[in-house]
Amino acid sequence: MGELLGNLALGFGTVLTVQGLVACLAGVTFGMFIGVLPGIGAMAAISVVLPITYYVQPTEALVMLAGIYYGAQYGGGITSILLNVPGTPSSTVVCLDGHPLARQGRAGPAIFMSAIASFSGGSIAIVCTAAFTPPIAEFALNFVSAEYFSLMVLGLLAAAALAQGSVVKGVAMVIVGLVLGLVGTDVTSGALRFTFGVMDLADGLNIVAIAMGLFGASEVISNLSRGAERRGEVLKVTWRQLVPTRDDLRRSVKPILRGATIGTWLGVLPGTGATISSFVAYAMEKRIAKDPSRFGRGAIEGVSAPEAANNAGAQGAFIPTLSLGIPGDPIMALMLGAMLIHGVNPGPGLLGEHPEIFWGLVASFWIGNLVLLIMNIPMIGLWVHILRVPYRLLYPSIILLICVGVYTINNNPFDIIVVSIFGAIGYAMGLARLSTAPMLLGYVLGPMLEENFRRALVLSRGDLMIFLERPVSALLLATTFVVLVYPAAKDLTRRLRRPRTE
Amino acid sequence: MASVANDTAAAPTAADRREDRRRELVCGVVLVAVGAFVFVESLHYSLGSLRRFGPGLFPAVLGVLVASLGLVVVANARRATGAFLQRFAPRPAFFVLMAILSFGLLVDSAGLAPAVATLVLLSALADRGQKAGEMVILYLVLLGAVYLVFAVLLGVPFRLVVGL
Repeated sequence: MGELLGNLALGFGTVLTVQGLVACLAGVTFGMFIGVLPGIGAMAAISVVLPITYYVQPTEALVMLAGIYYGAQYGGGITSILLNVPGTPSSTVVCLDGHPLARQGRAGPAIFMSAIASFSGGSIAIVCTAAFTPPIAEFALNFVSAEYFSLMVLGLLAAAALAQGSVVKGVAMVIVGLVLGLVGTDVTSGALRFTFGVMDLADGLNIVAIAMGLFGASEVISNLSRGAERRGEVLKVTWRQLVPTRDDLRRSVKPILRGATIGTWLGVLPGTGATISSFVAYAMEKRIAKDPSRFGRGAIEGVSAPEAANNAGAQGAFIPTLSLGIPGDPIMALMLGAMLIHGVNPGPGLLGEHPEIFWGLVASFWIGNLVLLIMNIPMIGLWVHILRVPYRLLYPSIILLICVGVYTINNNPFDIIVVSIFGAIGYAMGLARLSTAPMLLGYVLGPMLEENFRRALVLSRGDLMIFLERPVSALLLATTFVVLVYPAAKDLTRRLRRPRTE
Repeated sequence: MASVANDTAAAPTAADRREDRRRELVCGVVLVAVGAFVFVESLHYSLGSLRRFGPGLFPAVLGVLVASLGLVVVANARRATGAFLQRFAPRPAFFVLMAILSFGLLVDSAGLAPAVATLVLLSALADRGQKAGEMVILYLVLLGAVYLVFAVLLGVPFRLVVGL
């Protein structure tokens, strides 16, 4: 207990400085702004800000980037409620009941409850992060390369299996991602791989350029091709009825707790992040409700449960990233990339080597969430104004921001060309229903996976059985097998039961 | 991740199913081709042995895996249902990607001002009904903002017009 207090003191000491507070404040404000704007997500925002963080200390950089991520979860709900369009993918489900509430003139209470639910969900997940990350990291400190290899295999394949869509395609994308990660100079032999004589590729593909192509550019294209739905009317917020009724609060307590639990768990699992958590939390509330017909017509639980879940999910995602160095979603992959750029080695050693980074982040989560809660309500007029910016002016600005952001990483225009190539790949992948998230995870973990595979085999003198002889490694591989085989088996039984219809 | 909304959420038509099957087939074939390419390319690097393996071994294994998964996709292609199919939108796809590419090609060789101009012009063409006057104003605002924030404040070596 005393140790925890000491650690928290270290964390707050790190963040409660002028630079720390500025980083946190800038991050959450920008995140909230991005969250409110439909058509640009946390992913694009983090990519654009990442190059700017080169100028500050690693802790402040990570505090700011993390703030953008969870700040966007707060902002997204406002757009869902007022506009019936999700500000971020993870607030899609909030539209279902949030917008009907706004139509009934209760937009104020809906936004108020969404802020309270986000704060509560976030807080519960922060406690879990502070409590569980250190023991997991400590356990993982005993891992050698064989266990690392198996753990990464589990993380990657679980991400592929749990993400939406076909498992076969998900796994294929993870592996293509692994190959992309190998592009450039091999650290062990010095050989240039998959560079085809292009010297710009010697240092490998840039993670921000890939992420911006796969997520930023292809998102703009999808938004433009959908066209019709992008403009709705912005509903007014009536100030008089801003405060939720006693009934709203009473109805929301349990949904918030359930949503936070679901969000934290799904946030920890690879492949399921804030978006899936919010869908699951909504579905659960609807299922256990006494009167499910209220849902879709303005049930306050339909706002509070998913908002608690997506914030908890956004915080929970930090647990595997900070304890094991294994990211569960593309945004965490980008965070991991940011750590590497700043010369911080992610993994179980992080807590021992850089306790100030971990505890500083935890402390900044508290401060950031508190700032967001306070900022949400009084600044509502501003958020409503932002929503009136038409998409026809917004998207050229987003495209320019992507280009400039990517350029500033290395001041190399080659990276922008990479963005356009990966934009084309990402759009084609969308048409073929290949998910892009597993590819980015594979890209980040590719070099580490190869390195640990190589080291394990050096230790065992080329004997592949080492991965099954070490108990933890064997257990991880067995889990991987179950995770992969389960959906395949389910699919097969379904197909056997219902013969193919033409 | 983002494309929750889709264009054919309702009952897919026979044409949707045909289109879906065709896409699955293409997807599988492309995966096989990518896997085969990675495998063949890896053979140019030294494979080594399991005990002391070279830079080619790991990618060679990955190439084989991708190609085999591609074969599974090909085999499953006829079962495609046509549900949740994203419509192909050539106009936004072409112009958005060209806008990015042109910025990459122009920013160092011609300068920031022409690069932003081409980017705004090509982006505007991606959507119907953009007004020329509005885009000119947007261009001036964006150019000014980017130059001020990135070149002046952050010291990114942008040049407004090269050769001036």
